[in-house]
Amino acid sequence: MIYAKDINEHTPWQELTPGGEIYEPGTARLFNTGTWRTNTPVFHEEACKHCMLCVPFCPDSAIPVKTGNVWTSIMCTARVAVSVKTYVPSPRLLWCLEVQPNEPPPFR
Amino acid sequence: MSHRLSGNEVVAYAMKQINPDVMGAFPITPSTEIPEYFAQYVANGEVNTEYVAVESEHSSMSVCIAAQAAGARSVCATSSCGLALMYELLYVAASCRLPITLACVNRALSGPININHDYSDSMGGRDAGWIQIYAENNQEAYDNFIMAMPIGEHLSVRLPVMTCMDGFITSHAVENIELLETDAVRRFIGQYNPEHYLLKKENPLAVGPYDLSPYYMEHKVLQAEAMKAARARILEVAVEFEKISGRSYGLFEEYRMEDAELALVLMGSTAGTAKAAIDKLREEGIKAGLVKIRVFRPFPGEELARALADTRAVAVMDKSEGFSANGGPLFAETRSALYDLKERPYLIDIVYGLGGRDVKVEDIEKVFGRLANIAQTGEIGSLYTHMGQRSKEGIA
Repeated sequence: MIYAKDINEHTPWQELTPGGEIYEPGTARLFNTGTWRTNTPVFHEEACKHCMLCVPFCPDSAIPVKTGNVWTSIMCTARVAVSVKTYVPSPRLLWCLEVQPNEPPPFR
Repeated sequence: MSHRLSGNEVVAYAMKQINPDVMGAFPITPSTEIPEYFAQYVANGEVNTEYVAVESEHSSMSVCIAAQAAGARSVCATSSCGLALMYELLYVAASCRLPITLACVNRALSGPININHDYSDSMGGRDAGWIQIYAENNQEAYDNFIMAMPIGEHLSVRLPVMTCMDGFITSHAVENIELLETDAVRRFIGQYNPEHYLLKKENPLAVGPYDLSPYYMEHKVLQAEAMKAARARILEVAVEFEKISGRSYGLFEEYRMEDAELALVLMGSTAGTAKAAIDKLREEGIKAGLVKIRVFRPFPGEELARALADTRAVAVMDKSEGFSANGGPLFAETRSALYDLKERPYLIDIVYGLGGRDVKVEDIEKVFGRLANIAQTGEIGSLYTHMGQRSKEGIA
Protein backbone atom coordinates (compact mmCIF):
# COMPACT_ATOMS: atom_id res chain seq x y z
CA MET A 1 0.00 0.00 0.00
CA ILE A 2 1.12 3.55 -0.73
CA TYR A 3 1.09 5.79 2.38
CA ALA A 4 0.50 9.55 2.26
CA LYS A 5 3.71 10.23 4.24
CA ASP A 6 5.70 8.64 1.39
CA ILE A 7 4.18 10.89 -1.27
CA ASN A 8 5.65 14.26 -2.06
CA GLU A 9 6.31 16.52 -5.03
CA HIS A 10 9.24 14.37 -6.12
CA THR A 11 7.30 11.10 -6.25
CA PRO A 12 7.26 9.56 -9.76
CA TRP A 13 3.89 8.69 -11.33
CA GLN A 14 4.54 4.98 -10.94
CA GLU A 15 4.50 5.39 -7.15
CA LEU A 16 1.31 7.45 -6.86
CA THR A 17 -2.14 5.98 -6.22
CA PRO A 18 -4.69 5.60 -9.02
CA GLY A 19 -6.99 8.62 -9.12
CA GLY A 20 -5.04 10.20 -6.26
CA GLU A 21 -6.84 8.00 -3.73
CA ILE A 22 -5.69 8.39 -0.13
CA TYR A 23 -5.79 5.27 1.99
CA GLU A 24 -5.57 6.79 5.48
CA PRO A 25 -7.60 9.34 7.45
CA GLY A 26 -6.37 12.71 8.70
CA THR A 27 -3.47 13.04 6.29
CA ALA A 28 -3.90 16.82 5.87
CA ARG A 29 -1.68 17.37 8.92
CA LEU A 30 1.21 15.79 7.03
CA PHE A 31 1.18 18.61 4.54
CA ASN A 32 2.02 22.27 5.07
CA THR A 33 -0.69 24.11 3.20
CA GLY A 34 0.15 27.53 4.68
CA THR A 35 2.91 28.93 2.54
CA TRP A 36 0.76 31.83 1.36
CA ARG A 37 -0.13 33.39 4.71
CA THR A 38 0.99 36.91 5.56
CA ASN A 39 0.26 37.01 9.31
CA THR A 40 1.01 34.66 12.19
CA PRO A 41 -1.40 34.26 15.08
CA VAL A 42 0.30 34.32 18.48
CA PHE A 43 -1.45 32.89 21.53
CA HIS A 44 -0.88 34.40 24.99
CA GLU A 45 -1.82 31.63 27.34
CA GLU A 46 -1.66 33.84 30.46
CA ALA A 47 -4.45 36.03 29.00
CA CYS A 48 -6.76 33.10 28.25
CA LYS A 49 -9.98 33.22 30.33
CA HIS A 50 -11.51 30.22 28.61
CA CYS A 51 -14.19 32.50 27.14
CA MET A 52 -14.42 30.19 24.08
CA LEU A 53 -14.71 33.15 21.72
CA CYS A 54 -11.63 32.01 19.87
CA VAL A 55 -13.64 29.05 18.57
CA PRO A 56 -16.20 31.02 16.50
CA PHE A 57 -13.58 33.74 15.90
CA CYS A 58 -11.26 31.40 14.08
CA PRO A 59 -12.12 29.16 11.10
CA ASP A 60 -13.93 25.90 11.71
CA SER A 61 -11.74 23.26 13.42
CA ALA A 62 -8.78 25.64 13.76
CA ILE A 63 -9.20 25.62 17.56
CA PRO A 64 -9.53 22.07 18.81
CA VAL A 65 -11.78 22.07 21.90
CA LYS A 66 -11.04 19.29 24.34
CA THR A 67 -12.59 18.36 27.66
CA GLY A 68 -11.08 20.10 30.66
CA ASN A 69 -8.96 22.47 28.67
CA VAL A 70 -10.37 24.80 26.06
CA TRP A 71 -7.04 25.55 24.68
CA THR A 72 -4.54 23.00 23.43
CA SER A 73 -2.76 24.89 20.75
CA ILE A 74 -3.27 27.30 17.95
CA MET A 75 -2.87 25.24 14.87
CA CYS A 76 -0.46 27.29 12.88
CA THR A 77 -2.25 27.00 9.61
CA ALA A 78 -2.90 29.67 7.07
CA ARG A 79 -6.59 29.38 7.77
CA VAL A 80 -6.22 31.11 11.14
CA ALA A 81 -4.10 33.88 9.75
CA VAL A 82 -6.31 34.50 6.75
CA SER A 83 -9.35 34.70 8.98
CA VAL A 84 -7.75 37.09 11.41
CA LYS A 85 -6.48 39.28 8.66
CA THR A 86 -9.61 39.28 6.55
CA TYR A 87 -12.49 39.42 8.97
CA VAL A 88 -11.28 41.13 12.15
CA PRO A 89 -10.42 44.80 12.03
CA SER A 90 -8.79 44.71 15.44
CA PRO A 91 -6.71 41.69 16.28
CA ARG A 92 -7.01 42.83 19.90
CA LEU A 93 -10.68 41.80 19.93
CA LEU A 94 -9.53 38.69 21.70
CA TRP A 95 -7.00 39.50 24.38
CA CYS A 96 -5.35 36.15 24.14
CA LEU A 97 -4.82 36.30 20.38
CA GLU A 98 -2.45 38.63 18.67
CA VAL A 99 -1.56 38.90 15.02
CA GLN A 100 1.98 39.59 14.00
CA PRO A 101 3.06 40.19 10.42
CA ASN A 102 5.07 37.38 8.92
CA GLU A 103 8.68 37.81 8.04
CA PRO A 104 8.69 38.31 4.28
CA PRO A 105 9.63 35.04 2.59
CA PRO A 106 13.22 34.86 1.35
CA PHE A 107 13.55 35.99 -2.25
CA ARG A 108 13.96 33.02 -4.57
CA MET B 1 -30.21 -21.33 -26.45
CA SER B 2 -31.69 -19.21 -29.22
CA HIS B 3 -34.08 -16.37 -28.41
CA ARG B 4 -35.64 -13.45 -30.19
CA LEU B 5 -35.01 -10.22 -28.32
CA SER B 6 -34.44 -6.53 -28.99
CA GLY B 7 -31.13 -4.80 -28.26
CA ASN B 8 -32.49 -3.08 -25.17
CA GLU B 9 -33.99 -6.36 -23.94
CA VAL B 10 -30.69 -8.22 -24.25
CA VAL B 11 -28.76 -5.54 -22.38
CA ALA B 12 -31.37 -5.50 -19.59
CA TYR B 13 -31.20 -9.30 -19.57
CA ALA B 14 -27.40 -9.21 -19.35
CA MET B 15 -27.77 -6.83 -16.39
CA LYS B 16 -30.19 -9.26 -14.77
CA GLN B 17 -27.76 -12.13 -15.22
CA ILE B 18 -24.96 -10.02 -13.74
CA ASN B 19 -27.18 -8.89 -10.82
CA PRO B 20 -25.28 -5.64 -10.15
CA ASP B 21 -25.34 -4.02 -6.70
CA VAL B 22 -26.66 -0.65 -7.85
CA MET B 23 -28.37 0.86 -10.89
CA GLY B 24 -28.63 4.61 -11.38
CA ALA B 25 -31.79 4.86 -13.49
CA PHE B 26 -33.20 7.66 -15.58
CA PRO B 27 -35.13 7.23 -18.83
CA ILE B 28 -34.31 8.74 -22.20
CA THR B 29 -35.24 7.55 -25.68
CA PRO B 30 -34.07 5.12 -27.05
CA SER B 31 -32.44 3.61 -23.93
CA THR B 32 -35.55 3.98 -21.72
CA GLU B 33 -36.48 0.30 -22.04
CA ILE B 34 -33.28 -0.82 -20.30
CA PRO B 35 -34.10 0.67 -16.87
CA GLU B 36 -37.77 -0.18 -17.58
CA TYR B 37 -37.14 -3.91 -18.11
CA PHE B 38 -34.69 -3.90 -15.24
CA ALA B 39 -37.26 -2.30 -12.91
CA GLN B 40 -39.47 -5.35 -13.57
CA TYR B 41 -36.65 -7.68 -12.55
CA VAL B 42 -36.23 -5.65 -9.35
CA ALA B 43 -39.98 -5.66 -8.65
CA ASN B 44 -40.17 -9.41 -9.27
CA GLY B 45 -37.29 -10.04 -6.90
CA GLU B 46 -35.23 -11.60 -9.69
CA VAL B 47 -32.26 -9.40 -8.77
CA ASN B 48 -31.26 -7.80 -5.49
CA THR B 49 -29.98 -4.59 -7.07
CA GLU B 50 -30.48 -1.27 -5.32
CA TYR B 51 -32.47 0.50 -8.03
CA VAL B 52 -32.06 4.25 -7.60
CA ALA B 53 -34.58 6.26 -9.64
CA VAL B 54 -33.16 9.78 -9.88
CA GLU B 55 -34.19 13.11 -11.41
CA SER B 56 -31.53 13.45 -14.12
CA GLU B 57 -28.63 11.72 -15.83
CA HIS B 58 -26.24 13.96 -13.93
CA SER B 59 -27.61 12.23 -10.85
CA SER B 60 -27.79 8.70 -12.27
CA MET B 61 -24.07 8.81 -13.04
CA SER B 62 -23.40 10.44 -9.65
CA VAL B 63 -25.22 7.52 -8.01
CA CYS B 64 -23.01 5.08 -9.93
CA ILE B 65 -19.84 6.97 -8.96
CA ALA B 66 -20.74 7.03 -5.26
CA ALA B 67 -21.83 3.38 -5.28
CA GLN B 68 -18.77 2.17 -7.14
CA ALA B 69 -16.48 4.14 -4.79
CA ALA B 70 -18.30 2.53 -1.88
CA GLY B 71 -17.37 -0.86 -3.31
CA ALA B 72 -20.53 -1.74 -5.23
CA ARG B 73 -20.82 -2.83 -8.82
CA SER B 74 -22.95 -0.23 -10.56
CA VAL B 75 -24.59 0.02 -13.96
CA CYS B 76 -26.39 2.69 -15.92
CA ALA B 77 -28.00 3.24 -19.32
CA THR B 78 -28.53 6.39 -21.32
CA SER B 79 -28.63 8.10 -24.72
CA SER B 80 -27.98 11.40 -26.45
CA CYS B 81 -28.72 14.47 -24.30
CA GLY B 82 -28.73 12.20 -21.25
CA LEU B 83 -25.13 11.27 -21.93
CA ALA B 84 -24.37 14.94 -22.58
CA LEU B 85 -25.78 15.83 -19.16
CA MET B 86 -23.43 13.21 -17.71
CA TYR B 87 -20.27 14.55 -19.36
CA GLU B 88 -18.87 16.13 -16.20
CA LEU B 89 -19.46 12.90 -14.28
CA LEU B 90 -17.99 10.75 -17.06
CA TYR B 91 -14.68 12.48 -16.42
CA VAL B 92 -15.07 12.09 -12.65
CA ALA B 93 -15.81 8.36 -12.96
CA ALA B 94 -12.80 7.78 -15.21
CA SER B 95 -10.33 9.91 -13.26
CA CYS B 96 -11.41 8.35 -9.96
CA ARG B 97 -10.73 5.04 -11.74
CA LEU B 98 -14.18 3.62 -10.99
CA PRO B 99 -15.08 0.74 -13.32
CA ILE B 100 -18.75 1.57 -13.83
CA THR B 101 -20.54 -0.05 -16.79
CA LEU B 102 -22.78 2.16 -18.93
CA ALA B 103 -24.99 0.99 -21.77
CA CYS B 104 -25.03 3.85 -24.25
CA VAL B 105 -27.80 3.56 -26.83
CA ASN B 106 -26.52 5.97 -29.42
CA ARG B 107 -28.78 8.76 -30.57
CA ALA B 108 -28.19 12.10 -32.28
CA LEU B 109 -27.63 15.13 -30.09
CA SER B 110 -29.83 18.19 -30.26
CA GLY B 111 -30.36 20.33 -32.08
CA PRO B 112 -32.56 20.29 -33.94
CA ILE B 113 -33.96 17.68 -31.60
CA ASN B 114 -33.86 14.19 -33.07
CA ILE B 115 -34.34 10.76 -31.53
CA ASN B 116 -32.68 8.60 -34.17
CA HIS B 117 -29.27 7.12 -34.49
CA ASP B 118 -25.84 8.58 -34.95
CA TYR B 119 -22.74 8.69 -32.76
CA SER B 120 -22.70 12.37 -31.82
CA ASP B 121 -23.45 11.53 -28.17
CA SER B 122 -20.71 8.99 -27.41
CA MET B 123 -18.23 10.74 -29.73
CA GLY B 124 -18.64 13.83 -27.56
CA GLY B 125 -17.55 11.68 -24.61
CA ARG B 126 -14.67 10.03 -26.41
CA ASP B 127 -11.99 11.96 -24.52
CA ALA B 128 -13.58 11.42 -21.09
CA GLY B 129 -11.37 8.42 -20.32
CA TRP B 130 -13.97 5.68 -20.78
CA ILE B 131 -13.37 2.50 -22.67
CA GLN B 132 -15.82 2.49 -25.59
CA ILE B 133 -16.96 -0.71 -27.28
CA TYR B 134 -19.44 -0.57 -30.17
CA ALA B 135 -21.86 -3.31 -31.24
CA GLU B 136 -23.02 -4.14 -34.75
CA ASN B 137 -26.11 -6.08 -33.64
CA ASN B 138 -28.03 -7.40 -30.63
CA GLN B 139 -25.70 -10.34 -30.10
CA GLU B 140 -22.70 -8.05 -29.87
CA ALA B 141 -24.56 -5.64 -27.58
CA TYR B 142 -25.20 -8.55 -25.20
CA ASP B 143 -21.70 -9.98 -25.46
CA ASN B 144 -20.00 -6.60 -25.06
CA PHE B 145 -21.97 -5.80 -21.92
CA ILE B 146 -20.96 -9.10 -20.33
CA MET B 147 -17.30 -8.58 -21.25
CA ALA B 148 -17.32 -5.00 -19.91
CA MET B 149 -16.86 -5.76 -16.21
CA PRO B 150 -13.94 -8.19 -16.48
CA ILE B 151 -12.24 -5.57 -18.68
CA GLY B 152 -12.92 -2.45 -16.60
CA GLU B 153 -12.52 -3.97 -13.14
CA HIS B 154 -9.14 -5.58 -13.79
CA LEU B 155 -6.39 -4.07 -11.62
CA SER B 156 -4.27 -3.16 -14.64
CA VAL B 157 -7.19 -1.14 -16.04
CA ARG B 158 -9.67 0.17 -13.44
CA LEU B 159 -11.59 2.27 -15.96
CA PRO B 160 -15.30 2.67 -16.68
CA VAL B 161 -16.67 0.98 -19.78
CA MET B 162 -19.29 2.30 -22.17
CA THR B 163 -20.87 -0.36 -24.38
CA CYS B 164 -22.57 1.30 -27.31
CA MET B 165 -25.28 0.15 -29.69
CA ASP B 166 -27.18 1.97 -32.43
CA GLY B 167 -30.39 3.61 -31.23
CA PHE B 168 -33.55 1.98 -32.66
CA ILE B 169 -31.60 0.14 -35.38
CA THR B 170 -30.15 -2.19 -32.75
CA SER B 171 -31.93 -1.19 -29.54
CA HIS B 172 -35.45 -1.79 -30.88
CA ALA B 173 -34.90 -4.35 -33.63
CA VAL B 174 -35.76 -7.90 -32.59
CA GLU B 175 -33.16 -10.44 -33.69
CA ASN B 176 -32.24 -14.03 -33.02
CA ILE B 177 -29.73 -14.16 -30.24
CA GLU B 178 -27.79 -16.76 -28.28
CA LEU B 179 -27.98 -16.15 -24.55
CA LEU B 180 -25.54 -17.63 -22.07
CA GLU B 181 -26.66 -19.49 -18.97
CA THR B 182 -26.84 -17.19 -15.95
CA ASP B 183 -24.42 -19.38 -13.98
CA ALA B 184 -21.90 -19.13 -16.80
CA VAL B 185 -22.26 -15.34 -16.87
CA ARG B 186 -21.77 -15.06 -13.10
CA ARG B 187 -18.72 -17.31 -13.20
CA PHE B 188 -17.34 -15.29 -16.08
CA ILE B 189 -17.66 -11.89 -14.42
CA GLY B 190 -16.81 -13.17 -10.93
CA GLN B 191 -17.10 -11.18 -7.72
CA TYR B 192 -16.22 -7.49 -7.66
CA ASN B 193 -13.35 -7.31 -5.19
CA PRO B 194 -11.77 -3.86 -5.23
CA GLU B 195 -8.68 -3.46 -3.10
CA HIS B 196 -9.86 -0.14 -1.67
CA TYR B 197 -13.45 1.03 -1.21
CA LEU B 198 -15.27 3.46 1.06
CA LEU B 199 -17.17 0.83 3.05
CA LYS B 200 -13.99 -1.03 4.01
CA LYS B 201 -13.95 0.21 7.59
CA GLU B 202 -10.46 -0.95 8.51
CA ASN B 203 -9.08 1.04 5.60
CA PRO B 204 -10.36 4.64 5.50
CA LEU B 205 -10.28 6.01 1.97
CA ALA B 206 -10.51 9.41 0.30
CA VAL B 207 -11.74 9.37 -3.31
CA GLY B 208 -11.23 12.23 -5.73
CA PRO B 209 -9.17 14.64 -3.59
CA TYR B 210 -8.08 18.07 -4.80
CA ASP B 211 -5.15 17.60 -7.15
CA LEU B 212 -3.04 20.61 -8.10
CA SER B 213 -0.21 20.96 -10.60
CA PRO B 214 2.44 19.06 -8.55
CA TYR B 215 0.33 15.86 -8.84
CA TYR B 216 -2.34 16.18 -11.56
CA MET B 217 0.03 15.40 -14.43
CA GLU B 218 1.24 12.19 -12.76
CA HIS B 219 -2.33 11.03 -12.16
CA LYS B 220 -3.19 11.69 -15.81
CA VAL B 221 -0.17 9.63 -16.89
CA LEU B 222 -1.42 6.79 -14.66
CA GLN B 223 -4.82 7.08 -16.34
CA ALA B 224 -3.30 7.11 -19.83
CA GLU B 225 -1.24 4.02 -18.98
CA ALA B 226 -4.41 2.27 -17.80
CA MET B 227 -6.07 3.02 -21.13
CA LYS B 228 -3.05 1.57 -22.95
CA ALA B 229 -3.18 -1.52 -20.73
CA ALA B 230 -6.88 -1.93 -21.55
CA ARG B 231 -5.99 -3.02 -25.08
CA ALA B 232 -4.35 -6.24 -23.88
CA ARG B 233 -7.04 -6.83 -21.27
CA ILE B 234 -9.83 -6.51 -23.86
CA LEU B 235 -8.18 -9.22 -25.96
CA GLU B 236 -7.58 -11.41 -22.91
CA VAL B 237 -11.25 -11.18 -21.92
CA ALA B 238 -12.29 -11.91 -25.52
CA VAL B 239 -10.28 -15.16 -25.43
CA GLU B 240 -12.01 -16.20 -22.18
CA PHE B 241 -15.38 -15.19 -23.58
CA GLU B 242 -14.89 -17.32 -26.66
CA LYS B 243 -14.42 -20.35 -24.42
CA ILE B 244 -17.89 -19.96 -22.92
CA SER B 245 -19.73 -18.61 -25.96
CA GLY B 246 -17.93 -19.82 -29.07
CA ARG B 247 -17.98 -16.24 -30.37
CA SER B 248 -14.69 -14.52 -31.02
CA TYR B 249 -13.98 -10.80 -30.76
CA GLY B 250 -11.01 -8.55 -31.48
CA LEU B 251 -10.37 -4.83 -31.31
CA PHE B 252 -12.02 -4.66 -34.72
CA GLU B 253 -13.51 -7.09 -37.18
CA GLU B 254 -11.95 -7.58 -40.60
CA TYR B 255 -14.40 -8.65 -43.27
CA ARG B 256 -12.91 -10.01 -46.51
CA MET B 257 -9.76 -7.99 -45.93
CA GLU B 258 -7.21 -10.72 -46.88
CA ASP B 259 -6.65 -9.40 -50.39
CA ALA B 260 -8.80 -6.25 -50.26
CA GLU B 261 -7.70 -3.30 -52.38
CA LEU B 262 -10.62 -1.04 -51.52
CA ALA B 263 -11.78 -0.86 -47.95
CA LEU B 264 -14.17 0.84 -45.58
CA VAL B 265 -13.59 1.75 -41.95
CA LEU B 266 -16.82 2.20 -40.00
CA MET B 267 -18.68 1.27 -36.82
CA GLY B 268 -21.91 -0.29 -35.67
CA SER B 269 -24.92 -1.55 -37.60
CA THR B 270 -23.81 -0.06 -40.94
CA ALA B 271 -21.30 -2.93 -41.00
CA GLY B 272 -24.14 -5.31 -41.84
CA THR B 273 -25.16 -3.18 -44.82
CA ALA B 274 -21.52 -2.86 -45.88
CA LYS B 275 -20.98 -6.64 -45.70
CA ALA B 276 -23.95 -7.19 -48.04
CA ALA B 277 -22.51 -4.64 -50.48
CA ILE B 278 -19.06 -6.21 -50.27
CA ASP B 279 -20.42 -9.70 -50.97
CA LYS B 280 -22.14 -8.32 -54.07
CA LEU B 281 -19.02 -6.49 -55.26
CA ARG B 282 -16.84 -9.53 -54.63
CA GLU B 283 -19.08 -11.53 -56.98
CA GLU B 284 -18.30 -8.89 -59.61
CA GLY B 285 -14.59 -9.42 -58.96
CA ILE B 286 -14.02 -6.19 -57.03
CA LYS B 287 -11.62 -6.69 -54.13
CA ALA B 288 -13.65 -4.91 -51.48
CA GLY B 289 -13.29 -5.27 -47.72
CA LEU B 290 -14.34 -3.80 -44.40
CA VAL B 291 -12.79 -2.99 -41.06
CA LYS B 292 -15.50 -2.63 -38.45
CA ILE B 293 -14.13 -0.78 -35.43
CA ARG B 294 -15.36 -2.48 -32.26
CA VAL B 295 -13.12 -0.81 -29.69
CA PHE B 296 -12.90 2.95 -30.25
CA ARG B 297 -11.28 3.72 -26.86
CA PRO B 298 -8.53 2.63 -26.57
CA PHE B 299 -8.13 3.20 -30.32
CA PRO B 300 -6.37 0.26 -32.04
CA GLY B 301 -4.15 2.49 -34.19
CA GLU B 302 -1.20 0.18 -34.86
CA GLU B 303 -3.43 -2.82 -35.52
CA LEU B 304 -5.61 -0.78 -37.89
CA ALA B 305 -2.57 0.46 -39.80
CA ARG B 306 -1.46 -3.16 -40.30
CA ALA B 307 -4.95 -4.17 -41.47
CA LEU B 308 -5.05 -1.37 -44.05
CA ALA B 309 -1.38 -1.52 -45.09
CA ASP B 310 -1.99 -3.42 -48.33
CA THR B 311 -5.09 -1.57 -49.49
CA ARG B 312 -5.06 1.03 -52.23
CA ALA B 313 -7.95 3.27 -51.25
CA VAL B 314 -9.92 3.53 -48.03
CA ALA B 315 -13.09 5.41 -47.09
CA VAL B 316 -13.71 6.17 -43.44
CA MET B 317 -17.43 6.44 -42.78
CA ASP B 318 -18.26 8.73 -39.90
CA LYS B 319 -21.75 8.63 -38.44
CA SER B 320 -21.20 11.83 -36.49
CA GLU B 321 -20.11 15.23 -37.71
CA GLY B 322 -17.57 16.52 -35.23
CA PHE B 323 -17.47 19.96 -36.85
CA SER B 324 -13.71 20.06 -37.04
CA ALA B 325 -14.12 21.17 -40.69
CA ASN B 326 -11.47 18.54 -41.34
CA GLY B 327 -13.51 15.33 -41.18
CA GLY B 328 -15.23 13.27 -38.49
CA PRO B 329 -13.67 11.72 -35.37
CA LEU B 330 -13.19 8.23 -36.82
CA PHE B 331 -11.43 9.79 -39.81
CA ALA B 332 -9.07 11.75 -37.56
CA GLU B 333 -8.10 8.58 -35.68
CA THR B 334 -7.73 6.47 -38.81
CA ARG B 335 -5.72 9.05 -40.69
CA SER B 336 -3.42 9.48 -37.71
CA ALA B 337 -3.00 5.70 -37.40
CA LEU B 338 -1.96 5.41 -41.05
CA TYR B 339 0.65 8.15 -40.90
CA ASP B 340 3.49 5.79 -39.94
CA LEU B 341 2.92 3.43 -42.87
CA LYS B 342 5.65 3.66 -45.50
CA GLU B 343 3.09 3.33 -48.27
CA ARG B 344 -0.25 4.71 -47.28
CA PRO B 345 -3.51 4.04 -49.10
CA TYR B 346 -5.55 6.97 -50.41
CA LEU B 347 -7.94 8.02 -47.70
CA ILE B 348 -11.25 9.90 -47.73
CA ASP B 349 -13.91 10.65 -45.15
CA ILE B 350 -17.63 10.33 -45.72
CA VAL B 351 -19.99 11.66 -43.08
CA TYR B 352 -23.33 9.88 -43.42
CA GLY B 353 -26.48 8.78 -41.62
CA LEU B 354 -26.77 11.76 -39.27
CA GLY B 355 -29.93 11.79 -37.18
CA GLY B 356 -30.93 8.38 -38.53
CA ARG B 357 -30.66 9.15 -42.28
CA ASP B 358 -30.85 5.73 -43.89
CA VAL B 359 -27.88 4.13 -45.58
CA LYS B 360 -28.55 1.39 -48.13
CA VAL B 361 -26.49 -1.28 -49.84
CA GLU B 362 -26.48 0.92 -52.99
CA ASP B 363 -25.02 3.80 -51.00
CA ILE B 364 -22.12 1.63 -49.89
CA GLU B 365 -21.64 0.46 -53.48
CA LYS B 366 -21.42 4.11 -54.52
CA VAL B 367 -18.65 4.65 -51.96
CA PHE B 368 -16.73 1.67 -53.38
CA GLY B 369 -17.29 3.13 -56.87
CA ARG B 370 -15.58 6.32 -55.69
CA LEU B 371 -12.74 4.32 -54.14
CA ALA B 372 -12.22 2.36 -57.38
CA ASN B 373 -11.97 5.63 -59.25
CA ILE B 374 -9.48 7.04 -56.73
CA ALA B 375 -7.33 3.89 -56.88
CA GLN B 376 -7.30 4.08 -60.67
CA THR B 377 -6.65 7.81 -61.12
CA GLY B 378 -4.77 8.69 -57.94
CA GLU B 379 -7.07 11.71 -57.59
CA ILE B 380 -9.02 11.74 -54.35
CA GLY B 381 -11.22 14.73 -55.17
CA SER B 382 -12.82 16.07 -52.00
CA LEU B 383 -11.17 14.69 -48.89
CA TYR B 384 -14.19 15.07 -46.67
CA THR B 385 -17.76 14.92 -47.93
CA HIS B 386 -21.26 14.20 -46.70
CA MET B 387 -23.46 11.45 -48.12
CA GLY B 388 -27.23 11.07 -48.27
CA GLN B 389 -28.29 14.71 -48.05
CA ARG B 390 -30.50 16.41 -50.64
CA SER B 391 -28.71 19.01 -52.66
CA LYS B 392 -29.25 21.02 -55.83
CA GLU B 393 -27.20 18.41 -57.62
CA GLY B 394 -29.49 15.61 -56.38
CA ILE B 395 -28.87 13.15 -53.54
CA ALA B 396 -25.19 13.09 -52.66
